[in-house]
Amino acid sequence: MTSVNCAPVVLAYDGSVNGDWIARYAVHIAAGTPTKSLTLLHVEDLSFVAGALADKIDNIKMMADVSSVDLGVQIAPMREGVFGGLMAWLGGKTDSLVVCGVRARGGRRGYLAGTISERLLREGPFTTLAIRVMQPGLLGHPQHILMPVSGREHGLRVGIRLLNHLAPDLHRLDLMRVMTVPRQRFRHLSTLEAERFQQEGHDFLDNVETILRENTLIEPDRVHTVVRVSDDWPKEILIQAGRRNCDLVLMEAPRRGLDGKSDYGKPIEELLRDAPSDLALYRGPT
Amino acid sequence: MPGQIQNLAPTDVHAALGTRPQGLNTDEVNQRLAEIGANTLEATRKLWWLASLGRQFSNFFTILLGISAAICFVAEFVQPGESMDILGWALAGVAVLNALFSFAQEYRAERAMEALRKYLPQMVLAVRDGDENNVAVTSLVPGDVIQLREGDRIPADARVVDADGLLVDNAPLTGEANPINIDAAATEALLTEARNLVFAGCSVLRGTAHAVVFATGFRSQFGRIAMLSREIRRKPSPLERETRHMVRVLTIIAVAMGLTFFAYGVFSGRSWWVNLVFMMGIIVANVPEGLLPTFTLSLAMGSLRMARRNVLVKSLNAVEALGAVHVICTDKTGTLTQNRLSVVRVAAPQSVEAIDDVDRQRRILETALATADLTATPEGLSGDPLDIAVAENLAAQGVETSGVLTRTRDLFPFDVEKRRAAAIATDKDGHAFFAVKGAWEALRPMIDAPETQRSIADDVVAALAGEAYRVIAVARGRPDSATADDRDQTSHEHDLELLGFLCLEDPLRPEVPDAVADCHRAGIGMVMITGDHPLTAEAIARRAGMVAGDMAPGTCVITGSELEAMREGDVARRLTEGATVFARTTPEQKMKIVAALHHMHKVVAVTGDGVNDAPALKAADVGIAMGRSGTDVAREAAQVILLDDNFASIVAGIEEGRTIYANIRKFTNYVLVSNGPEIMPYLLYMLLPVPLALTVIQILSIDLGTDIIPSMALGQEKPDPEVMRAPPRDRGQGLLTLPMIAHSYLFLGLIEAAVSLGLFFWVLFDGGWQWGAPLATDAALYHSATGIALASILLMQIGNLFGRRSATGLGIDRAAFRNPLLIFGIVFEAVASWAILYVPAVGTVLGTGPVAAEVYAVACASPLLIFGLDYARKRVAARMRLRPGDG
Repeated sequence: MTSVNCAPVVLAYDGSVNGDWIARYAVHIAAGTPTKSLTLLHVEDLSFVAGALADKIDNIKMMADVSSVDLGVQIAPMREGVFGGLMAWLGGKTDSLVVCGVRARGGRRGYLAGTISERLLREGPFTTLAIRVMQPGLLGHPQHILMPVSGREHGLRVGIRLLNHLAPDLHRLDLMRVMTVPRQRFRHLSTLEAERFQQEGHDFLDNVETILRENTLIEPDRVHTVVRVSDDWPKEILIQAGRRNCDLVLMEAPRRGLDGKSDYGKPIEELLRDAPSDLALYRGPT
Repeated sequence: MPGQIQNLAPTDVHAALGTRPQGLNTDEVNQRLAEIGANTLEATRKLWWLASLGRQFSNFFTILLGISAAICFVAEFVQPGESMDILGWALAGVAVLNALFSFAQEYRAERAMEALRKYLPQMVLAVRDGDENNVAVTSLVPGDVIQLREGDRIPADARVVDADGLLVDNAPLTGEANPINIDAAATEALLTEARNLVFAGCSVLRGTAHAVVFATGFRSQFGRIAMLSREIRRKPSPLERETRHMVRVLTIIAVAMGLTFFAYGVFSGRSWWVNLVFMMGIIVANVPEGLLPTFTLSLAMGSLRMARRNVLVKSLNAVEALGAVHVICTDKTGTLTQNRLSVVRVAAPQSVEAIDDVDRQRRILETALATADLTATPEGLSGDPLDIAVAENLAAQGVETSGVLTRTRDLFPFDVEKRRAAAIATDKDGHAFFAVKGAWEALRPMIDAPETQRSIADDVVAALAGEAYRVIAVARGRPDSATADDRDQTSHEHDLELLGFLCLEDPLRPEVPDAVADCHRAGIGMVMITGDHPLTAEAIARRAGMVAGDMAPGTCVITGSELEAMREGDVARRLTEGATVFARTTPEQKMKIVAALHHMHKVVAVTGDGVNDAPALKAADVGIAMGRSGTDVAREAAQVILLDDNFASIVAGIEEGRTIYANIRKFTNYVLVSNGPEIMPYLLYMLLPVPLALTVIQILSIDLGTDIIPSMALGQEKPDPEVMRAPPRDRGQGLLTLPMIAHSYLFLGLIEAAVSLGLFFWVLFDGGWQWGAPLATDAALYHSATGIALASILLMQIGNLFGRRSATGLGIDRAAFRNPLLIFGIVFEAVASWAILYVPAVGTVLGTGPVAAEVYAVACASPLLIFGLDYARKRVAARMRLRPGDG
């Protein structure tokens, strides 16, 4: 399999202000690849006047130039909608890293549910990174990342490769492990049991740190760990993101959350709705 | 390589944010508004309160009370006239009151958001389509160009692109007391520390600027704090956890007993209806319905007592939580100290000793005052506390300070980055001079002196700082009028003469050392968290007595930068090793310290005053906001407000909290005792062919009637002198312990049951009843028998009441008679016991009747029996504890 490090970076761009914010992440990530190339892919859905879109793309080109990134622009036609248009162009490019955004405003529809990004995460035969921007002032250059890690090794490996793109700017990385306990059990958890869970979490993160050291350029003293025992993992991530004042939460999107439903209490939607920092959800090729 | 918004050159900012110097056009604004949303902190959770209300009505206790009430109403419908509807309403009332009370607590948390909204202005001057117009702040979008002027509140996070003497107050956001100079130049600083950004909620003190908005609403730094404050859940207080546990245990006992006897009744052939009523009776007898309302009342009265000691409690559970505190994380300035700088020494450049020469001293002070930015107000001088301290010192020496101030020609106000203030002024004779005051490190390169003398000055500064003084260097020179522009500060900053050092201190509050000693005696740890210099912080901590005398200098201090690099476990380890002072920390780092203390299983109280303290205040077990100096947001986020900002008041609050917990244990024990004689009649009735000695309504008259006032009286007991000499209570020890259950049910409960049932059967046999004979519930004999059973329980509860006042002693002392509620409770129980028997109206409601005088006389003696036997038990227990070899 081609590693994400050398993967061509593709920006799925919709022409919105939010899209411009996402474009900064895409440019930054592309600048971290050996080829320093980025493809801007826009599917013509007639929601933008051609002139306005051209101006926006020119702006992104300027950004790319400043970062020495070679920007290619692809305007694709719709094929049974925008998703079809994107897949028609991306379908065979299984080694690509597709950067896209979630809705800028959630409301009843939710942030991810029913979006093209959700379908890309769910169905894309490539690596997808869907970003919600909460701090536009970062201009896609997070310096402090909180990375909650689950036990999925494949997901972890994809995450570590993504981290490599962001490594040069990184001042601090907080690895987080939430030891989830069912609600009823959590309420009656003894101190001893809680400490055992904590220890398990720390052991797990020690392994992750070892993998990080072997696979990234991040300096060990910039890596911190945090373990939480909880019955509510999204809330713990939100609290840590706020407490640690991090710029970006980078985490694998749980497959179960990509079902198109926009339930208010759904963990992914809760994270996207309440995150005090930028939040990036990724999934490797399906 | 471009970085974040603060890293860009001003000329690149417009393009980076998709805008231009003449601003966005209307279409762009509308499009962005539709896409990003309005610039407001409005919570989207409009119906959150409904969910909250639902949660309160679906908890275990409320559901149980609700079901019980429903069964009562059904029972009244099936068999009217048994007064079961009264019972139903009483139970429903208790359920609703408890649920509404919990809801009110949660609702209050949302008000922090309201307080935050007040920091945003209504209108702002924005450049759109090339024109400057006042627009609604809610309509601002990223890319909008805004103009900022003196007095403006900043409406959104924005990057300054041109500025003229812009000075902003970031205190609402960062707690930083000093104003900050803002300019447009690119910087490598972090986004939150950049000096070319302005943040929503802060205000412009001086100057003007154009800035481009890059984050609005919840995307602004202010919005992020609002979100975090909303998301952080406060952990249930120890009392909440213990109450919940107690209610669960008692309910399980009640329901299990009820169901067992229901099943027994069904198998023994009794009717379903009779079984249902008895099941209800057993449940009602077991659940102390009055206990939770008494808790609430007791905590409410405790909060009133605390308010008298300058501790305002917003959440009733915090009353007790304060008593359970293991560690107090306190600010320094204003809490441990008086927040009033004063010049305590004027030292020469080469000596730590004070200058004796009055003229020389005045020269230094007048030079320092020349650089002051003070305004005369009707209340006195207003401005930097340092300048005020200098002016006060001079005024005390009889110098006309206004004369010095008016002779200042060009003022260069204090600059945080430069760490100094300067001015060009003239002396009395009209000679111009250049004056500078500030940090020695900032002035050192400008001083015209040999390196050896400057090194001596280094040592002097270090020695003075080691004595916890804030050391300000004062220097003077000639203005470089020949070559330099007067407005260029740096052009004058060379070849200066170091006049000396001002030693200022914020004096320790006089009551603090005693309060700290109280904390030590009470086993309460203290941690000082401050933005001050480590040496100053440590010296204050030592002077207050917070640091153990044998700790080497510096070992008790952790600086903010050290903290940043430490993991939670490392912080916990350092705290265990005696670290007491966190210096040069940011408010955000408080959260890390609290987390480390939680890691050590400590109950933590945290003080705070700024907006960015709000998350830490909510994360702590007890958040304490400053009443005088705190922001509204901190006050809303906290559970406790310190009206006088004084550390000693926290300690007073802890004493009250501990007393309240001890009192809660007393009245819980008291209330549970009456459960014994309430349950026993039902057991006898089910197992033996005897009439029921106590009806459900009579049980309720005890639980929700006569027991309430004595319980409240126990809740009002004064602090025991020993309360602050014991360590914080063991968190593993719950409110309801096995010894308490055994004492309540199996000792005093059994005695009360035996006496009341003895009197019940005495009246029955005396009235001609024979063992096993049926007795109608409306018979006069039955009314008299149940009447004396009920009356005797009330009377015996008086003996129980005195016994509960002291765990080891007699319980009868002068203080007992200085507690008016106690006296009232005793009189109330005595009168009620009489009225039950001899006042027909009361008898009609409760189904009771009169008994012979000698029977009542025996009942009146029963409190002595209870009191005497309980005291004997205490003596035996005390002897067993003292027995050699018991340890």
